[in-house]
Amino acid sequence: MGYSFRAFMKKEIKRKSICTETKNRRTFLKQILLMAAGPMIVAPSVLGKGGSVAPSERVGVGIIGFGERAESVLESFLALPDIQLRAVCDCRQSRMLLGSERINRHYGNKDCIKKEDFRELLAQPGIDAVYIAMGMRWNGMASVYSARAGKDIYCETPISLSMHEANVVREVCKRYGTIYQGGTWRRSSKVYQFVRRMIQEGRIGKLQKVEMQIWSGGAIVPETPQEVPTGWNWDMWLGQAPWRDYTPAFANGGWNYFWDTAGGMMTDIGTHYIDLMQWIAGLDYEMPIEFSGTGELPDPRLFASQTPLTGEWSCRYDDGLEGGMHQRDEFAKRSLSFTGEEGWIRVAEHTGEVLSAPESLLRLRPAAETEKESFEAHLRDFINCVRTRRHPVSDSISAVNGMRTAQAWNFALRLGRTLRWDNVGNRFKDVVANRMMYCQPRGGWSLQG
Amino acid sequence: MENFYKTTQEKFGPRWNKRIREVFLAVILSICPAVWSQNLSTDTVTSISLPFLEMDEKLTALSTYTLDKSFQPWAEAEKSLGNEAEFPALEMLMTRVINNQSTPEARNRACKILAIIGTDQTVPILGNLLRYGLRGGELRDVESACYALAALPYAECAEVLREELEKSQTASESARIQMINALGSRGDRESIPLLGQMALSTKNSPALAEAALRALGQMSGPEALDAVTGSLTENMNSGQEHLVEIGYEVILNQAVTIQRDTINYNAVIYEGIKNSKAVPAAIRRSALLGLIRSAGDRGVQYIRDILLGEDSSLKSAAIAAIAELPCGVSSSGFTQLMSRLTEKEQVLMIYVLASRADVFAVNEVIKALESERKELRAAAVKSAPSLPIGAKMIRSLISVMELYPSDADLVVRSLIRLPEDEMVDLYLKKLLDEYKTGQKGKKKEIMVEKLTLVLSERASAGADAPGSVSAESFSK
Repeated sequence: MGYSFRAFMKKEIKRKSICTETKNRRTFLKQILLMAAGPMIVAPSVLGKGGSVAPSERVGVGIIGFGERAESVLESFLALPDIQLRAVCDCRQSRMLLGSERINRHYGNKDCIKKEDFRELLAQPGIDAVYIAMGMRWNGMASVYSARAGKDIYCETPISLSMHEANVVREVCKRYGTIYQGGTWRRSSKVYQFVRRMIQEGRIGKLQKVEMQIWSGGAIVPETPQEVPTGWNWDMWLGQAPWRDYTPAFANGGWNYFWDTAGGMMTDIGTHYIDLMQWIAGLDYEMPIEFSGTGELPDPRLFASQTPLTGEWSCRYDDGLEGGMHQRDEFAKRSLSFTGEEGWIRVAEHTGEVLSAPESLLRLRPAAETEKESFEAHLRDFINCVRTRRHPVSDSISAVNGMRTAQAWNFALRLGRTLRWDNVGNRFKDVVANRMMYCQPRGGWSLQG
Repeated sequence: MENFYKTTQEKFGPRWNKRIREVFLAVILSICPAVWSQNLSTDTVTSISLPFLEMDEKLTALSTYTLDKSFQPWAEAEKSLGNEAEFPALEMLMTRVINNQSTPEARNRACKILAIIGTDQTVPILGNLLRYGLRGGELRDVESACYALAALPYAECAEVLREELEKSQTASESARIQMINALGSRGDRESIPLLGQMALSTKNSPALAEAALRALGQMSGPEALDAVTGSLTENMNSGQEHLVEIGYEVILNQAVTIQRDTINYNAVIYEGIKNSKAVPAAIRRSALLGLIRSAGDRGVQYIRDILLGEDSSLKSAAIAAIAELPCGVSSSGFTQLMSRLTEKEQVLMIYVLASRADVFAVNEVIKALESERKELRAAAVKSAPSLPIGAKMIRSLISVMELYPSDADLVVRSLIRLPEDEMVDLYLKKLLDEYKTGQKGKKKEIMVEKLTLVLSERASAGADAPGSVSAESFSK
């Protein structure tokens, strides 16, 4: 009995080993066939043929935050032959999966790395640069971590939650030699490049006033907290912002209208227009010295949100240039106008119409281009700079100044008085406003070190 | 106390004067911190219940705020931020919200306002909230208290944080990290010994040690540096590589601060980190940058040393740093080393040399224009417009177009971008004429077409007076 059992076991073991061997042979043969077929089915572009760049030579990019913005510009990233999207990160599982699926579909593989925590994405090999689009509460913090990890950064605006955080972004990027491109893509638009050239060449005389019109802000009503949707890491989503329970309208865009997490339309679209003001005027490296603003806040009896529905702001630079921001009317009426001593130029963004006095300036106007084309030019500029180590058109200093100007305008509105800024000391001449520049991060997040 | 109010109300009747009540509350409030600190000085206290004060309507509305309720009371309170005359009353109201049986949302909002307007009178109240959060309350209360304690400019804030950090060994890690971060934000040098101990992974969790290290990074001076340096060996021995990396990162941050005091000291730090192979490449590159920036003209030697050495991880950063050297520094020291670089590094060098714009840089770019290597040639074509332009550079660009038709569009773009100069245009016209008349033979038709396009684009882009330019050609 004992013997037969042992014999059975021996046979069984031998049989199993034969089976495994057979399987291994089959697998091996399959692999050989696949290897042989491989080059036939791999697209030439993957190998760097047909004018494209081989994956190993491409700039490896990771997407941090796959929200609506990242989704809307994804095609532009995928269209660039010399970059490879290698990873995507979002603390909402459904968004993370959506991003990685679309990237994998484009490349025809399953290589896209998925992470919930951007720190894990930063630790992956092969990531040279990151695209950050996490919203105002996260963009600055993620930029600081990315720069410290040696990554180059394309960061959507608004670039930071507080003025202090903006300063840290600038310092860290300088220290690590980071190539930083702010998401103010209008700098790469031919229309605004034309406006800038006209003004820099003095064709409307000395620039005296820039007026910007952005659209009215929204508001949300008080909400009852609800259970966090499955697959959503709410603590991570909040990041450094003060804790609050999950409420749907807030989580789905309403965060833009609360001082704890954003700054309303001023920091949303306002930073883009402020950026144009300082760039076109040639004042990228300084801030206005005076800010004031008034506005209509949401009726607190009805609404929970705090940022203004409409507003009128003004500022003045040291050289006398005045800036005015009007938050009113609808989306389609957004515009910028530049008035000089001898003429003016006005851009109606929605229609792309450009008017000027003298009218003859318009003969120099380039052909209109789409927002997508301008974004792609901005992205192209960034990737070129990653390769050449030059400063992109929206470098960290200019991006930080644009952000701080937007914040300063919000402070002036909240405090209801004119604020004066000291460009040398980099602070307000106002004790209360100076205290508003800083927000201690929550949740163990730190800008330090 | 509730009984006392009842008695008082009975005595004064229903028309009890509201003003008297407020004055009374203010007196109670002013002695509250003292009473609380007395209670808390005994270690036996593990949890605190916030004392109940009678609330007026305003206080009730503020204190009971939750996300689903009207924001009006808080909108009114925040409106007062604009009027300094209202600050004393606002401060009192906010401290009452904290002292009250308020919701966490309300306490958080009160702390945010106090962070802006709070006087030193606020600090004990915030200290109490911190203790409440640490001993049985919510983490949110710790976060709220730390928010204000990190921001207010009073030394007492750091004292409270230090004291509670030392005492709260049993508190949650998140709460302790929040306090460490607040101390770091304050740059509180007196907490260096405590944080130095916390930075050791043998005694603390990695997350706590990381927070302590980063907080130390905010404190300048030799004591903080010693504390971080001391942690390196111990964290290395305990196999906490992540903490060692953060330690180096933090030292680098401290070097920036020290830079303002003594230049040699920071150079020693930069040099040490740059040369340490154990340190991640990003941190070493940053150290190299710091070293070059602090060295002025001597930065040339540091860059040359890297380019002559075998350490490939720093070469790209060294080449990029050439752009940051003072204007007077000649490029000759770097162009001599081109042959020692890899192809990729040479390409980067060409881009960087364009920012130097001296005769050596020009010659190197012209040499690259003659290269058979496409990448290097393309870099030279793109860099050319940034350099001082002479006939030789233009001829070299034209040669690229002749020899490599696939580069033609790139060259056209560069020729258009060449600086506005009469000589440049005249020279381009002369070359065009030579092609037209057949003096120049190769690919005559293509060259005539391309040069015509270049001259037309340059004329439209460079027009001085409105009306003298063809809008049609500009939009081509």
